[in-house]
Amino acid sequence: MCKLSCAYNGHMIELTYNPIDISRLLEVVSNPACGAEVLFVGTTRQWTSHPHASGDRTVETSHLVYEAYEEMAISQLQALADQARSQWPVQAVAIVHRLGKVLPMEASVAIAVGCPHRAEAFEAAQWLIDSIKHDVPIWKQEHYVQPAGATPVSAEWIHPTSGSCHCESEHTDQISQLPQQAPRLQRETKSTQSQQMQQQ
Amino acid sequence: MQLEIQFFAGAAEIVGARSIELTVPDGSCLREAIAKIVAAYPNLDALAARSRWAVANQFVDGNFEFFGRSAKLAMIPPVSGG
Repeated sequence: MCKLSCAYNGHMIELTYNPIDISRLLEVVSNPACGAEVLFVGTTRQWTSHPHASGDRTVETSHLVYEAYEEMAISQLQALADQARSQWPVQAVAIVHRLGKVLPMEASVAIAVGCPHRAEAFEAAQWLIDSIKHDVPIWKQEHYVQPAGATPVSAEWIHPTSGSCHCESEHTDQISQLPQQAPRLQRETKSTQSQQMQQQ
Repeated sequence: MQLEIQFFAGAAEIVGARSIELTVPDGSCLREAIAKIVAAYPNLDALAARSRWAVANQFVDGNFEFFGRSAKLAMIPPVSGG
């Protein structure tokens, strides 16, 4: 199978084993009612710094392998796109996530949101990526560059502990109790969220 | 009843299989099913304790009751997409 996709309720939701065509996402969300299209691209990081008591340790990633519970991932992504549209004046959402092997600097995920104005587009895009990182059944296996002369580092599946995320949104740890919970980003934090998004 | 349990990522690695079948008493709830799964695969205990579970593409809680002669369940360890 090459890709799993759907055009659903005006959204484009896709899981693909091929490189993501970023420009296509912007085409999908472009709309005469929109004055703002926000595109978020999550890329595979080559160098990651881990805090250690004896000083930060930097590891080099050779590649990632993504795996999904595909049918549930698609249905969760649809639900998130719908939720974004009910919470903000979102005209269209496009989400594409890579599966299989992804090399450093390649896009792992891309999200595009089209809205009448920029503040709500930044907010909705940020909420979507934060929610994907918590609620969509996709996992990465990290493969490391082997350090010369040192003990080999084996590949590992990443299963984050709660609180270790880098989200701006507030998340509850008990989402299993609330399968259809409302978006967690508060509107009063709007200006801060938009600024942070622009700085990334 | 017969339960088919799907595993992904680190959970599939621990179990050594993408799915297994397990017989549980009729009317079992998810909490009882998890106890049975962990008893069969003790190495899964720590990851199971911080995983979510899904039936028919929806997250369900420990009180979820299975019905019928067979059902499908998926273990969703902490996700790391994006």
